[in-house]
Amino acid sequence: MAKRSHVDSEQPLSPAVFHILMALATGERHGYDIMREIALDTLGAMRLGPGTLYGCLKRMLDAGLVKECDERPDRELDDERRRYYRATDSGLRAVRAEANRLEAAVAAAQAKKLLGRRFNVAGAKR
Amino acid sequence: MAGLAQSFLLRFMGRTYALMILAYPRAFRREFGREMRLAFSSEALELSRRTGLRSLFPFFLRVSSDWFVSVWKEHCDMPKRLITVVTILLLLAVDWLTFHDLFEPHTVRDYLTLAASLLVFLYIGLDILRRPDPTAARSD
Repeated sequence: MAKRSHVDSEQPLSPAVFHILMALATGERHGYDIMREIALDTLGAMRLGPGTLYGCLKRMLDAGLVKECDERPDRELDDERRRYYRATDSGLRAVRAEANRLEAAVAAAQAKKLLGRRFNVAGAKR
Repeated sequence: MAGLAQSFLLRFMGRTYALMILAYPRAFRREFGREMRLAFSSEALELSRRTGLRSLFPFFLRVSSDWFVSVWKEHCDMPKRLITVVTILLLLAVDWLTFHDLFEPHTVRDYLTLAASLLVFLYIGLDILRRPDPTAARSD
Protein backbone atom coordinates (compact mmCIF):
# COMPACT_ATOMS: atom_id res chain seq x y z
CA MET A 1 0.00 0.00 0.00
CA ALA A 2 1.26 3.44 -0.87
CA LYS A 3 2.28 5.61 2.03
CA ARG A 4 -0.11 8.41 2.85
CA SER A 5 1.59 11.62 3.74
CA HIS A 6 -1.58 13.25 4.93
CA VAL A 7 -4.38 11.87 7.04
CA ASP A 8 -7.70 13.58 7.29
CA SER A 9 -7.97 14.63 10.91
CA GLU A 10 -11.75 14.81 10.49
CA GLN A 11 -11.90 11.06 10.25
CA PRO A 12 -12.66 9.30 13.56
CA LEU A 13 -9.90 7.14 15.01
CA SER A 14 -10.42 3.67 16.41
CA PRO A 15 -10.05 3.38 20.20
CA ALA A 16 -6.77 1.47 19.81
CA VAL A 17 -5.25 4.07 17.46
CA PHE A 18 -6.50 6.91 19.65
CA HIS A 19 -4.89 5.44 22.76
CA ILE A 20 -1.63 4.64 20.95
CA LEU A 21 -1.42 8.25 19.80
CA MET A 22 -2.26 9.42 23.32
CA ALA A 23 0.60 7.31 24.66
CA LEU A 24 2.95 8.77 22.06
CA ALA A 25 1.78 12.36 22.56
CA THR A 26 4.21 12.87 25.44
CA GLY A 27 7.27 11.45 23.70
CA GLU A 28 8.78 8.43 22.04
CA ARG A 29 8.08 4.96 23.40
CA HIS A 30 8.75 1.38 22.46
CA GLY A 31 5.97 -1.17 21.93
CA TYR A 32 5.74 -2.59 25.42
CA ASP A 33 5.92 0.90 26.91
CA ILE A 34 2.95 1.89 24.75
CA MET A 35 1.01 -1.16 26.00
CA ARG A 36 1.75 -0.22 29.62
CA GLU A 37 0.84 3.42 29.10
CA ILE A 38 -2.50 2.49 27.52
CA ALA A 39 -3.32 0.17 30.43
CA LEU A 40 -2.51 3.03 32.83
CA ASP A 41 -4.48 5.65 30.85
CA THR A 42 -7.58 3.46 30.73
CA LEU A 43 -7.22 2.16 34.30
CA GLY A 44 -6.74 -1.32 32.90
CA ALA A 45 -9.94 -1.26 30.84
CA MET A 46 -7.99 -1.54 27.59
CA ARG A 47 -5.06 -3.91 27.32
CA LEU A 48 -3.66 -4.24 23.83
CA GLY A 49 -2.02 -7.49 22.83
CA PRO A 50 1.17 -7.44 20.75
CA GLY A 51 -0.71 -8.46 17.57
CA THR A 52 -3.20 -5.60 17.75
CA LEU A 53 -0.55 -3.10 18.82
CA TYR A 54 1.89 -3.85 16.00
CA GLY A 55 -0.91 -4.24 13.44
CA CYS A 56 -2.08 -0.74 14.37
CA LEU A 57 1.49 0.60 14.36
CA LYS A 58 2.04 -0.83 10.89
CA ARG A 59 -1.06 0.92 9.55
CA MET A 60 -0.21 4.10 11.44
CA LEU A 61 3.30 4.11 9.96
CA ASP A 62 1.74 3.70 6.51
CA ALA A 63 -0.70 6.53 7.20
CA GLY A 64 2.04 8.83 8.51
CA LEU A 65 0.53 9.13 12.00
CA VAL A 66 3.65 7.80 13.71
CA LYS A 67 7.26 7.38 12.73
CA GLU A 68 10.15 5.39 14.00
CA CYS A 69 12.72 7.28 16.04
CA ASP A 70 16.41 7.24 15.28
CA GLU A 71 17.31 8.70 18.65
CA ARG A 72 17.55 6.26 21.50
CA PRO A 73 17.43 6.87 25.21
CA ASP A 74 20.32 6.13 27.56
CA ARG A 75 21.88 2.88 26.41
CA GLU A 76 22.15 1.56 29.94
CA LEU A 77 18.40 1.84 30.36
CA ASP A 78 17.63 0.64 26.87
CA ASP A 79 17.36 -2.70 25.12
CA GLU A 80 18.99 -2.46 21.68
CA ARG A 81 16.38 -4.76 20.18
CA ARG A 82 13.57 -2.31 20.86
CA ARG A 83 12.32 0.15 18.29
CA TYR A 84 10.97 3.50 19.39
CA TYR A 85 8.02 5.31 17.86
CA ARG A 86 6.83 8.88 18.04
CA ALA A 87 3.69 10.68 16.90
CA THR A 88 4.08 12.86 13.81
CA ASP A 89 2.48 16.31 13.49
CA SER A 90 -0.29 14.68 11.51
CA GLY A 91 -0.76 12.12 14.30
CA LEU A 92 -0.92 14.83 16.94
CA ARG A 93 -3.50 16.73 14.89
CA ALA A 94 -5.57 13.57 14.52
CA VAL A 95 -5.47 12.76 18.25
CA ARG A 96 -6.41 16.35 19.16
CA ALA A 97 -9.32 16.26 16.74
CA GLU A 98 -10.48 12.94 18.19
CA ALA A 99 -10.17 14.25 21.76
CA ASN A 100 -12.33 17.24 20.78
CA ARG A 101 -14.91 14.90 19.25
CA LEU A 102 -14.97 12.83 22.43
CA GLU A 103 -15.28 15.96 24.56
CA ALA A 104 -18.27 17.06 22.51
CA ALA A 105 -19.80 13.60 22.87
CA VAL A 106 -19.29 13.67 26.65
CA ALA A 107 -20.85 17.15 26.81
CA ALA A 108 -23.83 15.93 24.81
CA ALA A 109 -24.20 12.88 27.07
CA GLN A 110 -24.04 15.10 30.10
CA ALA A 111 -26.66 17.45 28.68
CA LYS A 112 -28.95 14.43 28.31
CA LYS A 113 -28.15 13.44 31.90
CA LEU A 114 -26.54 10.20 30.86
CA LEU A 115 -23.50 10.84 33.03
CA GLY A 116 -23.17 10.85 36.76
CA ARG A 117 -22.54 14.06 38.71
CA ARG A 118 -18.90 13.20 39.23
CA PHE A 119 -18.05 14.19 35.65
CA ASN A 120 -17.71 17.74 34.46
CA VAL A 121 -17.97 18.80 30.83
CA ALA A 122 -14.34 18.01 30.12
CA GLY A 123 -14.86 14.49 31.39
CA ALA A 124 -12.63 14.94 34.43
CA LYS A 125 -13.67 13.56 37.78
CA ARG A 126 -14.68 16.14 40.32
CA MET B 1 11.18 -24.25 43.43
CA ALA B 2 8.64 -21.57 42.54
CA GLY B 3 11.36 -19.62 40.76
CA LEU B 4 12.20 -22.67 38.70
CA ALA B 5 8.57 -23.25 37.77
CA GLN B 6 8.22 -19.58 36.92
CA SER B 7 11.23 -19.51 34.63
CA PHE B 8 10.13 -22.78 32.96
CA LEU B 9 6.62 -21.47 32.38
CA LEU B 10 7.89 -18.16 31.03
CA ARG B 11 10.25 -19.91 28.63
CA PHE B 12 7.53 -22.31 27.53
CA MET B 13 5.07 -19.49 26.92
CA GLY B 14 7.71 -17.45 25.10
CA ARG B 15 8.46 -20.35 22.76
CA THR B 16 4.78 -21.04 22.22
CA TYR B 17 4.21 -17.40 21.32
CA ALA B 18 7.22 -17.47 18.96
CA LEU B 19 5.50 -20.37 17.16
CA MET B 20 2.20 -18.52 17.10
CA ILE B 21 3.89 -15.56 15.41
CA LEU B 22 4.68 -17.83 12.45
CA ALA B 23 0.99 -17.60 11.54
CA TYR B 24 1.32 -13.91 10.60
CA PRO B 25 2.14 -12.96 6.99
CA ARG B 26 5.85 -13.14 6.32
CA ALA B 27 6.33 -9.41 5.68
CA PHE B 28 4.58 -8.48 8.90
CA ARG B 29 6.49 -11.11 10.85
CA ARG B 30 9.82 -9.89 9.51
CA GLU B 31 9.08 -6.32 10.42
CA PHE B 32 7.52 -6.77 13.84
CA GLY B 33 7.96 -10.41 14.94
CA ARG B 34 11.00 -9.84 17.11
CA GLU B 35 9.45 -6.86 18.86
CA MET B 36 6.20 -8.74 19.40
CA ARG B 37 8.08 -11.53 21.13
CA LEU B 38 9.92 -8.96 23.21
CA ALA B 39 6.70 -7.20 24.21
CA PHE B 40 5.11 -10.55 25.07
CA SER B 41 8.00 -11.73 27.23
CA SER B 42 8.33 -8.33 28.95
CA GLU B 43 4.66 -8.33 29.91
CA ALA B 44 4.73 -11.97 31.01
CA LEU B 45 7.80 -11.35 33.16
CA GLU B 46 6.35 -8.24 34.76
CA LEU B 47 3.03 -9.96 35.46
CA SER B 48 4.67 -13.01 37.01
CA ARG B 49 6.83 -10.80 39.24
CA ARG B 50 3.95 -8.62 40.33
CA THR B 51 1.09 -11.05 40.74
CA GLY B 52 2.59 -14.52 40.52
CA LEU B 53 2.16 -17.45 38.19
CA ARG B 54 -1.62 -17.58 38.30
CA SER B 55 -1.97 -14.32 36.39
CA LEU B 56 -0.04 -15.81 33.47
CA PHE B 57 -2.92 -18.03 32.39
CA PRO B 58 -5.48 -15.24 31.89
CA PHE B 59 -2.71 -13.24 30.26
CA PHE B 60 -1.98 -16.03 27.81
CA LEU B 61 -5.68 -16.43 27.04
CA ARG B 62 -5.95 -12.70 26.35
CA VAL B 63 -2.88 -12.74 24.11
CA SER B 64 -4.19 -15.83 22.29
CA SER B 65 -7.51 -14.18 21.49
CA ASP B 66 -5.62 -11.07 20.34
CA TRP B 67 -3.41 -13.32 18.20
CA PHE B 68 -6.42 -15.01 16.60
CA VAL B 69 -8.05 -11.72 15.62
CA SER B 70 -4.86 -9.97 14.50
CA VAL B 71 -3.60 -12.91 12.40
CA TRP B 72 -6.93 -12.91 10.57
CA LYS B 73 -6.79 -9.15 10.08
CA GLU B 74 -3.21 -9.14 8.77
CA HIS B 75 -3.96 -11.94 6.32
CA CYS B 76 -7.10 -10.18 5.11
CA ASP B 77 -4.97 -7.17 4.24
CA MET B 78 -2.61 -9.16 2.01
CA PRO B 79 -4.85 -11.12 -0.43
CA LYS B 80 -6.95 -8.04 -1.29
CA ARG B 81 -3.89 -6.36 -2.75
CA LEU B 82 -2.74 -9.52 -4.44
CA ILE B 83 -6.15 -10.18 -6.03
CA THR B 84 -6.34 -6.57 -7.24
CA VAL B 85 -2.91 -6.68 -8.87
CA VAL B 86 -3.54 -10.09 -10.47
CA THR B 87 -6.95 -8.96 -11.80
CA ILE B 88 -5.47 -5.81 -13.34
CA LEU B 89 -2.58 -7.71 -14.97
CA LEU B 90 -4.92 -10.41 -16.29
CA LEU B 91 -7.37 -7.93 -17.78
CA LEU B 92 -4.55 -5.88 -19.32
CA ALA B 93 -3.21 -9.07 -20.92
CA VAL B 94 -6.67 -10.00 -22.26
CA ASP B 95 -7.19 -6.48 -23.63
CA TRP B 96 -3.78 -6.47 -25.24
CA LEU B 97 -4.39 -9.87 -26.87
CA THR B 98 -7.74 -8.68 -28.16
CA PHE B 99 -6.74 -5.26 -29.42
CA HIS B 100 -3.00 -5.34 -30.10
CA ASP B 101 -3.73 -5.31 -33.82
CA LEU B 102 -6.01 -2.30 -34.28
CA PHE B 103 -6.59 -2.97 -37.96
CA GLU B 104 -7.81 -6.46 -37.37
CA PRO B 105 -11.61 -6.68 -37.52
CA HIS B 106 -13.13 -6.96 -34.04
CA THR B 107 -16.29 -8.64 -32.96
CA VAL B 108 -18.94 -7.36 -30.56
CA ARG B 109 -17.56 -9.82 -28.00
CA ASP B 110 -14.15 -8.06 -28.18
CA TYR B 111 -15.74 -4.69 -27.47
CA LEU B 112 -17.78 -6.19 -24.64
CA THR B 113 -14.55 -7.63 -23.16
CA LEU B 114 -12.94 -4.19 -23.33
CA ALA B 115 -15.98 -2.52 -21.78
CA ALA B 116 -16.09 -5.11 -18.98
CA SER B 117 -12.42 -4.65 -18.16
CA LEU B 118 -12.78 -0.86 -18.17
CA LEU B 119 -15.68 -1.22 -15.74
CA VAL B 120 -13.52 -3.42 -13.50
CA PHE B 121 -10.70 -0.85 -13.62
CA LEU B 122 -13.21 1.89 -12.76
CA TYR B 123 -14.55 -0.18 -9.86
CA ILE B 124 -11.05 -0.84 -8.50
CA GLY B 125 -10.13 2.83 -8.82
CA LEU B 126 -13.29 4.00 -7.03
CA ASP B 127 -12.81 1.33 -4.36
CA ILE B 128 -9.28 2.58 -3.68
CA LEU B 129 -10.50 6.19 -3.50
CA ARG B 130 -13.43 5.39 -1.23
CA ARG B 131 -11.67 2.90 0.98
CA PRO B 132 -11.71 4.18 4.55
CA ASP B 133 -8.44 4.95 6.20
CA PRO B 134 -6.99 1.78 7.77
CA THR B 135 -6.65 3.59 11.07
CA ALA B 136 -10.30 4.59 11.14
CA ALA B 137 -12.69 3.11 13.64
CA ARG B 138 -14.57 0.66 11.46
CA SER B 139 -11.60 -1.13 10.02
CA ASP B 140 -9.96 -1.63 13.35
